[in-house]
Amino acid sequence: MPRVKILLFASLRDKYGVKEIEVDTDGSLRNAVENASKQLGREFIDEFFENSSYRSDRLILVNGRHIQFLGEVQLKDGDIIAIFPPIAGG
Amino acid sequence: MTKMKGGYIGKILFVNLTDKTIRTEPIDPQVAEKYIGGKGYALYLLYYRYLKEYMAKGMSPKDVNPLGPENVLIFATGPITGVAGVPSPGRYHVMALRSPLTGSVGSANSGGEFGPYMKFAGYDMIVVEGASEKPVYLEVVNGHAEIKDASDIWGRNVFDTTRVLKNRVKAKNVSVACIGPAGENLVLMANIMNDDHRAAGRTGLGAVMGSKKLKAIVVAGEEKPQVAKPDEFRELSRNLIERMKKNPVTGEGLPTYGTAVLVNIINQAGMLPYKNWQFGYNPEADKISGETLAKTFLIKRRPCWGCQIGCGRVVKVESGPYQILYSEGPEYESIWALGNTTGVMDLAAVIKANHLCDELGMDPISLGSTIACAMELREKGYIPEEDLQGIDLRFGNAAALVESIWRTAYKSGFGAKLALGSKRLAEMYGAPELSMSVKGLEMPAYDPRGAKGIGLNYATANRGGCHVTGYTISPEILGLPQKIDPLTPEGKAQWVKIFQDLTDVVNSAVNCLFVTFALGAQDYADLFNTVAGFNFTTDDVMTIGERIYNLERYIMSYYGFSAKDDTLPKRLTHEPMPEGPVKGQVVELDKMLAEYYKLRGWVDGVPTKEKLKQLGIEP
Repeated sequence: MPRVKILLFASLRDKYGVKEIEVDTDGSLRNAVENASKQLGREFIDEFFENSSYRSDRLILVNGRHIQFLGEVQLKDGDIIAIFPPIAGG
Repeated sequence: MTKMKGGYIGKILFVNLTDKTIRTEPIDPQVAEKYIGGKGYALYLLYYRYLKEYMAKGMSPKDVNPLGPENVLIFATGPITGVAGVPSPGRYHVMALRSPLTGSVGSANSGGEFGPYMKFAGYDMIVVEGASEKPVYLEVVNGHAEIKDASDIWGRNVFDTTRVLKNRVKAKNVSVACIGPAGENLVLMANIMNDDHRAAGRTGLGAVMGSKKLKAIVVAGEEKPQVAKPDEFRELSRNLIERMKKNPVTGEGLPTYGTAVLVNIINQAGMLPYKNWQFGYNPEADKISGETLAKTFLIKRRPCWGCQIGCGRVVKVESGPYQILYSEGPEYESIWALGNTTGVMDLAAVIKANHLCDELGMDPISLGSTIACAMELREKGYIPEEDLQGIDLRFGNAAALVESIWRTAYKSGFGAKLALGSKRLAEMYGAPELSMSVKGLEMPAYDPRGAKGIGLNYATANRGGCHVTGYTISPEILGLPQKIDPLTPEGKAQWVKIFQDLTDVVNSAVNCLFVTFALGAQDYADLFNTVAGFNFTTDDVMTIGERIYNLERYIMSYYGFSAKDDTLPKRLTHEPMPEGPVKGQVVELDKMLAEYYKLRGWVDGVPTKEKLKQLGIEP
């Protein structure tokens, strides 16, 4: 089973108390997030998903690429998922 | 001439430092209708009152010396500056006929209190012409302006100058905009500081002020701008501020973390320039992130005048070699420039370096980038050791970074070379390709190999390698107002044009660009209409932005700027990103440029006669 890392940033770090969590996955992002939620709480799944799509107000990157532009995601061993709440600067 | 209906105070102050004369003029409603205020109105004056006059007298625009008395400096507010209840109304804009760093038009924007207090002092704008033989400062209190001797404060740092001059004024709402030793010494990246830690940072306007021997402008007063339609404005204000509060960026993200929250996302996207743009990912970036800043050195927020967001940071480094018990900032681009691109990952050292930039009056973006350029030049053997005079300028050396700040301000040792900026520095040492700048202005914090739109913006921004001119990072990485694919060059030209035009509206309002994370052109039309009595539609507002952008580009063409200057360093167009999430990417600039010029109605990077006519810009 591939082992991947989920990195949390900004207010999500404070909310869940961790900067990163390593989890197994069957290859899908949903499974990785579900496995993470066993440690971080069920609401962690809602950080990523609303209904069955990705949350529009979250920035979700897989290996640095926005999830919207990746098509079907097949996670491999060592992949990095990063999640950000709405942030900005200039 | 009819008076303005609201918003504006209605007066422009003209100060000639050569013959020490002062005069005032009313705001011209016809000019305001086309250019609003702030940057737009200032550009109108720069072209029609100065550049055209110089040409009529036989001077070639190319001979306008940015450090000569013929340069003109304009401190400008707009109709919604200093109006309580307007979202983030605290900013002001500074324009110069010519920048000593780039040779293009000089332009910079700042927050704090100076903008509103200049209006309360009785003027929408202050125009500075000529040059004084001896150091002077300008005091504008309750409508009365006086040029005063500054010989006892010449040489003093920004904080001393501010404190001394504020104490001399017995009036309410006092603010000081001044230069530090860097501006006095004509360091090309010298800035204008106000209210101690706010900066009109880019394009070397501090050196322009220094060349005029103008140490400071002090403003104070109690005249409040009137509102044309008070009931409608009150309703609008309530609505807009509610939207800003509910918006997760303006209502939560920016207040909590400040701009430094960008370090991690830009790094995760593989485009945080590392070691002078050789790489785009730094595994240690979190050490200098907004999250780390919030947990370690942050004490509180500091908003600009009237601002509901409050993204300003107040910090304290309690102990250690980089101890500083009170400072403000650092912002994202400052952290990146003094930290990541120099390889310095010690946040306390970055805060100290940023503090010194404020104290001495220099732009940390240009300075940090110039130091990083020097580090790479040195690493590759271009700089003889004796030039460094014992300073071990290498990537990651925090002590050398901090030492280089004061050396640059005083042009001491190698600092004299750093003071020239990265373009001249790299040319001098025979490796011009190692300056990561456009038109001589160092680009900040976003590698366009990871977001092609910002690459097009860097190449075409009028003031040089500037990110805020057309901040397409917003849709490309942050997903605001919507997510677009950062790695495609397709369709980017349209985004860049729209962002550039809207930004010039914001720079003329004058308002804070961060408001645009929540509000848009329609909201600015509503603000202009209720505060100042205009009758603008959204289209009118965007046309005004386009007009201002084109007028600036038209002036630049007189200096010789054209498509040949709309470039990017070869590293970005020809060297594929070596590793990380955007490995293999380059910027397809030529493709995007062709589409951009078509949308702009420009040929060879210059507005056509037809375009100027369409926008109502008289040649």
